Amino acid sequence: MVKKFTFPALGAVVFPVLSAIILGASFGSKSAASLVFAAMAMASLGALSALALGLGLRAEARRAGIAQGPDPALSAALAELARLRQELSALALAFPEGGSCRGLKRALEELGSNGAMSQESRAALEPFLAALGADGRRGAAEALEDARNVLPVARRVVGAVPAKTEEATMALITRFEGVRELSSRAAAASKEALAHIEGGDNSASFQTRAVQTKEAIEAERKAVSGIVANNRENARKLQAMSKDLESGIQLIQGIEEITERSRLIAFNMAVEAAHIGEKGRGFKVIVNELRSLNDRTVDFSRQVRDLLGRYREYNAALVAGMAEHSERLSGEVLDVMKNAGGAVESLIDSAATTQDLSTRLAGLVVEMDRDLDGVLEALQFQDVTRQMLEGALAIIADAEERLGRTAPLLAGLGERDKQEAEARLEAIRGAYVARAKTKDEKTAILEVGP
Amino acid sequence: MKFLVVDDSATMRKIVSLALTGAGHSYAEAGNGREALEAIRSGKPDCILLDINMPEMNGIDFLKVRSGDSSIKSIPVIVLTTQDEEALRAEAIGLGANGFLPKPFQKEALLAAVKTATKL
Repeated sequence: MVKKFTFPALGAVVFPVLSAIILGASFGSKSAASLVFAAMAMASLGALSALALGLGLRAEARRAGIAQGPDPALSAALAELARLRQELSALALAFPEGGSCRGLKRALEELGSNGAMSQESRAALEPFLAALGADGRRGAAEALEDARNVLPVARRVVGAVPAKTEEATMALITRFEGVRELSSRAAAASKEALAHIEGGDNSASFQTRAVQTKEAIEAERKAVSGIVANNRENARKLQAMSKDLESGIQLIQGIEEITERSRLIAFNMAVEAAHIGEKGRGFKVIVNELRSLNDRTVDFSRQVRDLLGRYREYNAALVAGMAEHSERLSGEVLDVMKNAGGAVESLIDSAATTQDLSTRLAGLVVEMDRDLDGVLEALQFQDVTRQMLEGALAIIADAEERLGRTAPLLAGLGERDKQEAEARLEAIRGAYVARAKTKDEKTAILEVGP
Repeated sequence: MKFLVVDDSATMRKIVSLALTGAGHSYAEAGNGREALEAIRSGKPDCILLDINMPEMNGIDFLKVRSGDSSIKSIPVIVLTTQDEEALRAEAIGLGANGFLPKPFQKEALLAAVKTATKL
């Protein structure tokens, strides 16, 4: 009887022990992934134990002669057996080819496909199992307990990650919105600047007005130059008029000389009339008239000469003033116009530069918007990683559940003092806290109860 | 156009909403299929952008409810999911989804899918 149950009994005890050994080895690793992997392996090995029990159950059923009957419990057990074999096959795939666990991998493959180990596999495992004494079983039980305590820590730490990444992503998106707002404003400003400079359909654009202003200044400059030329011509005419006035004054002087001689003649005539006596009385009347005419001529000549003299002086002053002021004023006006023209040229150049910069800015804004869209696309990976982590959490939870189901199978392999177990858990927790790289990771580890 | 963005990820809802508002659309949000049905009762959207993996009521279950409800059957639905699997695509399309876009997607791809689904 005992001989018939050698393999099931072996499986019921050995596979959990093997699981625990793997777990115990994984605690030495700092990789959370290896811990999870080991937990999975251990849980599946627990299933292997159940398979062994299942095989025992089938053997018992056969022995009792009910293997062919429609017993529902047996059917359920056989279904469970089939499921476990599938799990064993899947578990075998998790071990690398040619690794240190190749013996175990082969045994799992055989159990998965045939429901039994080959003689060769059993022979390979038996010495290893024989080496396991009471200490080994106790160590395995401790490792199992540690695993049950550690998995919630892993679950808590992994579980805290999605919330943190989401928080970080939302903060990035908030910044993103700020940058996009600035980008939109820059785009609007450059568009406005371009519209102002180029005008589009608006004829009153800056460029148009600047060109019109430049043309108006050029027209004004030509007009001022024409006025200056006219002033020069007028000055020349006034100078010619001065010469004519001088000639007129000289003519008046000639008239005055003639009048003076006429007065002498009148005086002599008066003397001669006095010599003649009564007969010269009529002649004396003529002399008096002549003298009166001379006096009036002298007076008239003096007035004309004074008037011409004043005209000459006015004319001289006018010529001098016109020449001086006209040249100076035209120089100043032309300077102002030249400066205005230069300013307008500068404005046109500035407008061209602004236009160029605005065009480039608009291009940069388009590029920046494209890059920002790329950022949004990249941030979607937060959701992808979140779902992957949720998958990892489900795997850890499944490992915990499997571990919980396997634990009773190890009852009696070795018990640990409760105080000692708690101290060991605290030590493991302390080591994890010491290794934690962030405050949040430490908090997540410490939040897990004993 | 008014959209209903259905996703359990606040990040994804925000990202999708930014793409929509940038194109001049408005939107409402729901965290799963059940909330989406409530939101539709409050105001019928022109188009629904639907995630698949969600708690309470996932995207596939929502599509099943929608296919049996004449009041919402006509609202175009575009599925946005991290599961770029042919079987899922076929199931979603079979249940009446008007578009299927794997995450991560480009804004232009989303807007093009919207245009096609709503026949703008």
